[in-house]
Parts: sequence; structure tokens; C-alpha cells
Amino acid sequence: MPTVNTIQKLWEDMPQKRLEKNQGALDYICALASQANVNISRWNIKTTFGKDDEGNLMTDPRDLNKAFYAKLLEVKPRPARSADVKSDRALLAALRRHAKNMMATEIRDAKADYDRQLRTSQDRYRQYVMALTNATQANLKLERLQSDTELSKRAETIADSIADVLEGGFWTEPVVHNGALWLQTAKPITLTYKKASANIDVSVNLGRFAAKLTMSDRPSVLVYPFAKNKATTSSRFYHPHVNTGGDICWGNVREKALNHLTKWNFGKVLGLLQGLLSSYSDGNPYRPLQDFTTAGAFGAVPRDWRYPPKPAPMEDDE
Amino acid sequence: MATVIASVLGAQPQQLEGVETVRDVKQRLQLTNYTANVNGTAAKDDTRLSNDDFVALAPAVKGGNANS
Repeated sequence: MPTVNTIQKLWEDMPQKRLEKNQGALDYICALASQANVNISRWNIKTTFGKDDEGNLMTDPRDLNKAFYAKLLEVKPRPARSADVKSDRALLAALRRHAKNMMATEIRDAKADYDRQLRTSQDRYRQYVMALTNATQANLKLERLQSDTELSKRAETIADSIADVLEGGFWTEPVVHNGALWLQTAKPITLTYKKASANIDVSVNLGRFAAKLTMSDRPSVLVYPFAKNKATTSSRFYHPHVNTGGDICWGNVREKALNHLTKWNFGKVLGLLQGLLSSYSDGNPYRPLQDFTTAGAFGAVPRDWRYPPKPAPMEDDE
Repeated sequence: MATVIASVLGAQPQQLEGVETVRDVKQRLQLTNYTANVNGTAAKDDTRLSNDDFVALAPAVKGGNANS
């Protein structure tokens, strides 16, 4: 039977031109078989595609196509290979093993991904819970701060701290005037300073002072001399640690004093101020204590800067 | 209109009736992204077909080098 592999024997004695035509037809048939994925090795090429008894093949592609398709319809389709594969237990077992190995990697990756996602979600949940807790606490604090009870409580706390200071006896007569809390020292303040090596031995009665605590969102404190105070310097200082604007040189308690002021802790501020006004530090005063004189040489405290303040009379804000 | 033999790569060839161009074959088989050749020659979508033409369809594959 002249098959695709043997039909060329029929062409051995053919003229070259006819041989080439037949060979071209055979190539075309092979290409058709390849494109259609059909095994034609057992096909009788001569009877299927032959043009005559001499073994010549059709040359028109359309004739070849038609013959190819007609033959294809005659050929019984091969049983599906998949049926063989599925019934072969050994092969199936091997495929399962292979699939298992393939899946092991995917399972490992999926597990790692699951763990990662779980960790991420747990972290986020923890953060969420923490943020929610913080928000709740902030809200509670806000509600507490906005309540009248808290306001009264705060006012009472400030009042208590001032009352504690007043009990000490250094400060007296607290009044509120133009949004500021004024207190006076109960007695004149006398400072002494002795330094034998410099032949200094002074004791100066500086008089009484008033503290003005401004009650605003940025609290401040100033110190004023009384109008009756005699002790002063040529540059009109009335206390070694208070400048002519009433600002206090807090020295080593500066941080502490500012911190108490910021927190409206007036009791603590007044406590620190008491210590500062009642003691002389020769380290870094605005003016040395020995510069102060009570002889009246430099005149009285100017009216625009003394206690009680000018021009409004003292009265409660209420 | 022509009756042609259409072969999709890997499948049994089949006869299609009433097609005029390669485009018709592709549409009939719902294979618009496939490349076609007719009787062994690459063909465009508007290539006209005759009776008993063999239209082979294959996925459009572009080969590349190792870095592409």
C-alpha cells in the first residue's frame, strides 16, 4: 500500500517536472495532516489523493482538501486518550503524587499568606481597639471638661490652693480686678546680706509688695511695690529680683514656676514667689541689695507703677 | 458564498457552509484572535474563500527571546 512514506517509490522513474509536482502535493498533504493533527501514516495516499493509476497525485489544493476531508470522515476517530489515562491506576496514582507535590508548594504559600494576613488583621484590630479605647477616653475627658461640675471643681482646686497659701500668712487680701488676681504681702519684706570679705553687711526694709496673677489662657505674674515703699535704687528698682516692669527673675526655679503658671497652679506659684521675694541671692540680681537706699534720695514709687494699680479702684469681677 | 473545511489547531476539521471570507470563518467559530492560513498560505481576515478551501486557524502567538 503506497503510504506517505512509500509512495515516492512509484515516482522513481518519473520525469523531474512531474516528480516535483507530486512531491509538492505530498508536502501539502502532510501540512494538512499536521494542521488538523491527524496521523496519516497508514493512509493509502494513492487511492485517497491519486489522480491516475501511475501514482500521480492531485495538484489542485482544493481537490486535495476535499479528498483529505472525505477520508477524514471515513476514518474512525480514535478513542479519547483521556479515557485510557483515567482508567490506568498506576498512572493515575503517579499523577496524584505529582499533583500533590505541585500543590504542596501552593499550600505552603497559601498558609504563609494566611498567617501574614491574619497577623496583619490582628495587628490592625489591636490598633483599632486601642484607638477606639483612646477615643472613648478622650470623649469622656471632653465631656468631663465641658461639664459645670468639672469647672466648679477646677475653680475650687485653685481656690483651695490659694487658701492654703493664705493660711501661711505671707500673702493676704486676695481680690480679683480686671481679670487678674491680686494679693499683697502681709508684712514688709526685709532682706539682709552679709559678706565679710567685701565688707558688706546690709539689711534693707523693701516694704510690702503685691502680686498680680493674670488669669488668661496664658497666665502671668507680676510684682508691684506699694506706694509707701521707700527702698529703691537710682534706676527705680524696688526689689533685687524684680525688674522695673514687675517681671520676676525666677532664677533656679524658673522652669518650675512657669510650669505651675501654665497649669494655673497659683498656690504653687505664690509659694515660690514668697520664697523669692523673701530671700536675697547675690548670684545674679537685677540690682545688688547694697544699692538700695531708704533715704528717699530717689523719690517715691511712681503712680503709674505701684500698688494699688491706677486708675481703676479694686473691685471683684463678679 | 463557499463551503470550506475549517481546522482549528488540535481539533477535528469541520465543514463550514455559507462563508465568504476568513473573517466569516473566525466569527462562525468565535475565534477572532486566531491567525488563519488558507491552503497553506497566511491569510488576512478579508481574504475571500472558495469551495473546498482548507482554512487552518491557530492562536496568535508571538515568540520572544529569553529576555522578553
